[in-house]
Amino acid sequence: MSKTAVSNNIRKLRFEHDEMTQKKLATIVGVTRQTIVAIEKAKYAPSLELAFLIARAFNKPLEEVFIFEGEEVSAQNPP
Amino acid sequence: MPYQQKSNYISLITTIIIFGIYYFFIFQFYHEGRFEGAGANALIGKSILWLIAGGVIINIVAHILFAIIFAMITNEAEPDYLVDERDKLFELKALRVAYYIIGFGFIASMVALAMGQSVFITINILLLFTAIAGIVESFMQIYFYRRGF
Repeated sequence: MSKTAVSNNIRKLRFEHDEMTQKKLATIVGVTRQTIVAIEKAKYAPSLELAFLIARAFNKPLEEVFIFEGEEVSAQNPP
Repeated sequence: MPYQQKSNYISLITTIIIFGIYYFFIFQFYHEGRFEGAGANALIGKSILWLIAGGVIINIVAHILFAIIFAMITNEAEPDYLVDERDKLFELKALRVAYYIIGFGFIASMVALAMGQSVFITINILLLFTAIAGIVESFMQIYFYRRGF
């Protein structure tokens, strides 16, 4: 199965937050548990809004929760 | 399995039932020769209106029955009808495929009309592709949910 270019630390962060369940995280951010499962496995890249909501649920900045693993591009060298 | 995922099975079944009933009666009428003569076009129009009305009723009844049964089986006081961005994405992806099928059906029906086929044949080609689009749309959503992304 293909993975998205966005990996994440959700599983680790859930563990660090009193072993928060996927269901509880899903309820906090307003999605289904299946969506959290798909995001956690990097099968689905969430929208920017959902990504921010998940980061907020863990009181972490976005880049500590999600990691972009695609090719690096810069303003000087666009793809 | 969330409610949204299960409701795709209901949509699949109801689409097959609705169009199954429609084509059952339509073929009977066709063999009786009721689509020939002066009142043929009016009968085609009435048949399609019955299909739409019947389709809406069957869909509503099926989804209400399913919601009751689903609530009884899962024993949830308030079943989770939540539709999130992933659900909407699956719906849109499936809808795009359905749109292509209906578009192809429209072209096929126009080709039939251009080749001198009757209005009955033309309309029913279009309806057949609509039925196929509905079935494929449900199958696509079931596939996306099973795949998970």
